[in-house]
Amino acid sequence: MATLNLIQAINQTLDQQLEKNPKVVVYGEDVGFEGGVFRATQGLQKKYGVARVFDTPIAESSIVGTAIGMAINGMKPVIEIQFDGFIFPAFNQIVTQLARTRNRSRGNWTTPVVIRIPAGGGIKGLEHHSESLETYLGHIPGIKVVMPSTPYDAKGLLTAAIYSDDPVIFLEPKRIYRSGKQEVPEEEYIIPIGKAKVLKEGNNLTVVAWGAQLREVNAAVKEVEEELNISVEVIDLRTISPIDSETIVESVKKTGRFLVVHEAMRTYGPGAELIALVNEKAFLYLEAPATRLTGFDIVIPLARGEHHHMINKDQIKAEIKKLVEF
Amino acid sequence: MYDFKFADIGDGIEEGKILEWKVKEGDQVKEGDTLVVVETDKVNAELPSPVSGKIAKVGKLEGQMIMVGETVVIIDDGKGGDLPKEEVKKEAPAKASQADVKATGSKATYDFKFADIGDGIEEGKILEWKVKEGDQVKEGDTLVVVETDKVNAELPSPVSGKIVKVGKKEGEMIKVGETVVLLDDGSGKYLSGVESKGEAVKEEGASVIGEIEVSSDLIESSSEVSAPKAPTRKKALATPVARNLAKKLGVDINLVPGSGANGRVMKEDIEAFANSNTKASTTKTPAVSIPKANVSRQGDVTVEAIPSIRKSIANAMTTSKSIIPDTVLMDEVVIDALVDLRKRAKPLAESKGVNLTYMAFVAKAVIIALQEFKVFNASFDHDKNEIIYKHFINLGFAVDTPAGLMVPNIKDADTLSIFELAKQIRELADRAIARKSQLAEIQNGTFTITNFGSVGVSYGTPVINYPEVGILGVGKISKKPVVVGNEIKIGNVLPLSIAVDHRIIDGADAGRFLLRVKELLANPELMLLG
Repeated sequence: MATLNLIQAINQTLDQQLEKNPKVVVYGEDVGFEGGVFRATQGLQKKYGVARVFDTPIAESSIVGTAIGMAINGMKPVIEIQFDGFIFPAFNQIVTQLARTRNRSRGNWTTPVVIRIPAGGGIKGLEHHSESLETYLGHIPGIKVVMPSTPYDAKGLLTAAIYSDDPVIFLEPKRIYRSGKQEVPEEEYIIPIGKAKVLKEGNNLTVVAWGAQLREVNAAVKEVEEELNISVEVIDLRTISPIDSETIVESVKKTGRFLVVHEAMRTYGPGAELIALVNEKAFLYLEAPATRLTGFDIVIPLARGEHHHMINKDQIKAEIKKLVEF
Repeated sequence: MYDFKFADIGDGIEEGKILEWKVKEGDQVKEGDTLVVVETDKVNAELPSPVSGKIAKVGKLEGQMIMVGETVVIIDDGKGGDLPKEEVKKEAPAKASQADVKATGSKATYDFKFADIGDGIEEGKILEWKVKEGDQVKEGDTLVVVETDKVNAELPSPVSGKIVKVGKKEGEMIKVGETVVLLDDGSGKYLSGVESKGEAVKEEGASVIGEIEVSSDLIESSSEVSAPKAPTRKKALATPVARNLAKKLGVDINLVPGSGANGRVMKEDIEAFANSNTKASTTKTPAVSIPKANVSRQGDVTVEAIPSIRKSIANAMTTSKSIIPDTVLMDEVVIDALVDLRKRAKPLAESKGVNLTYMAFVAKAVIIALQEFKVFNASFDHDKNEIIYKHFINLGFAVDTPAGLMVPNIKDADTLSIFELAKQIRELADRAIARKSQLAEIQNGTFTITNFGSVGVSYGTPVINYPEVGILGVGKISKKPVVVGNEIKIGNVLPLSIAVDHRIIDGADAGRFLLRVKELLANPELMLLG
């Protein structure tokens, strides 16, 4: 089995689906000739031609708009919005058309578009290049939002997204595109959307995170378990919307303590939603307040100050200690 | 290299669409061979090759537009020269400059060359190979030890992979620039040929915006099997208020039977559980919690934060009084003989630099009594219902310092003479007053003496220095009428107050202990024998 990094896993998946399904088209800014700014689509135009893998103007609204039209007419567009912060010009298309077609047509029409977006900070990017979209996108009924944290999950979830009858937004944790490699099966496989993954079982605390943030969480848990002689359950949410409430609630019922860690802004952030869920469904099991560790309520800082915004291992350790000793 | 550009093929045509390639990269072509069919708005034109050679690169893909002046193909005509500049740039290896990429058949290999390891070293001798051909290595693993004229250097592997070939044998010399090992890194990123070399570089170095961390660290393999298991231990259902109450009462809420909906543990359940446990006298030592008092700050007051020494006194006293059900006994003893002895011994003590106080004699008497009544030199573990007897006597004594009460203790006091005790008491007290006590001096005491006689008081109810189980209060020596035989005489009277932990020491035991101390102080010569 080949070991691939996350971007290679995405490239392999796109390649596989382009080959398998003639309805799949891949396009976006710099996606064709350049192979994408992060090289996610490298080599695909050469292999499948400009009719199926192509570049677009810098016009996100039209990228999504054309995809909606293609999808309604039976195509399977897998489009790329080059950076998280570029999604906003396309928001009207996403919110008012993409997400609503099934509802508006009483189920007669669907828009099975996949929108891939490199998301999140940690790469010392410019403004609009490092944003967290969980809240913006997770709030829209009618679309699914996914974010893998490993190459294996990236392939399985992207394959699932391409098979989905409804629109899926596939957030890619760009910070860990190339930070590690994992065994990824050559053949096609699917990881169901809407299912979180228990990365590690534990009894004293449940930590939920997703995407690149899990690297810090895993490192913190490893150390804090030894230092405090506790065991921590770590859950990779994987799907931002719909939330896998069952996995989280069952875990908190077992551990009695809940911490969610995310880079996204705090106020109205994804952590607030998950804490509300825990409060509603596992209140009687709680031994400490359900707690969130989040980015600040600010525009993510530029390169020099970015590390202040990111949640690091030591912060996570301190918060876990606080909750276990509450 | 020949850069064949799309030219105006007549009639003002400015662009065309690539319809079909007749050749591909790597093909050999002869001058005049058709390379490609281009569709223009006027005609479909076949473009012939301007030279003979090998197709190094095609400029556009089928379906793409090509403008006049853009490259159609680059042909290696055997005349040398590089690919156009921008292409060369992309080929620059992203990895360390000492590394190069080479294709050997279909094997993807990484040529790790011996680099200048600093200080102008130009060559080295292979001392020892840590790996052999066929071994798997991880990035950073030591490959070989090389001896140079300055140092012996261990060379780490620049990538993870399999050793395809080692460059030199042990004992041979290796020069800067020569191959140390060829590695197969298995990623398939360095496939054959110039072109894939370019691609490999593009992929590994790719980061148009910002900085992307690149690493070959292996992530644990994954699958879709794990799922949260059912709870393994019984967990109580309870509100945070109830949990808090249980914590306050020292009750493990998971043991409390719940009477609420779905077996929820209610506050009343916890209270009932706590009460029943008290009756069965199996309660744990409750954690000290101080009820929130509404301390008025109204009127003419000043509010002052207390220093940390006062905080620790407050905590120690609260802990003691919260945990220990103490009882206090008081009595007095006529110490005329001791007064006389001290008077006679004082000059001798002074000659040895010792200030002989009554405290030293009291300490000695207590030490002797502690050796006889071992439970007074113990601690009590209520959780485990165990008494911990200590086979050492660290005798503490209260020191009145400007900052507040300090209780240093004399280590292994039972090994010391009265003079030595007097000397240590002075030294420890001086250090305490000067706030120079070492932490060890105030830790691990086993019994304490407090002298409130020094401030003119006769009796008190001293607070036990938890987790000790007893404290002796020494009052002011005063002349009093005492009955000797049937006569009233003036005697030197020393009042004593002893507080003990009644959980393990009964009043009668305390009385017997006090009696022994009194006996020793009344007849100090007995201390020689004790």
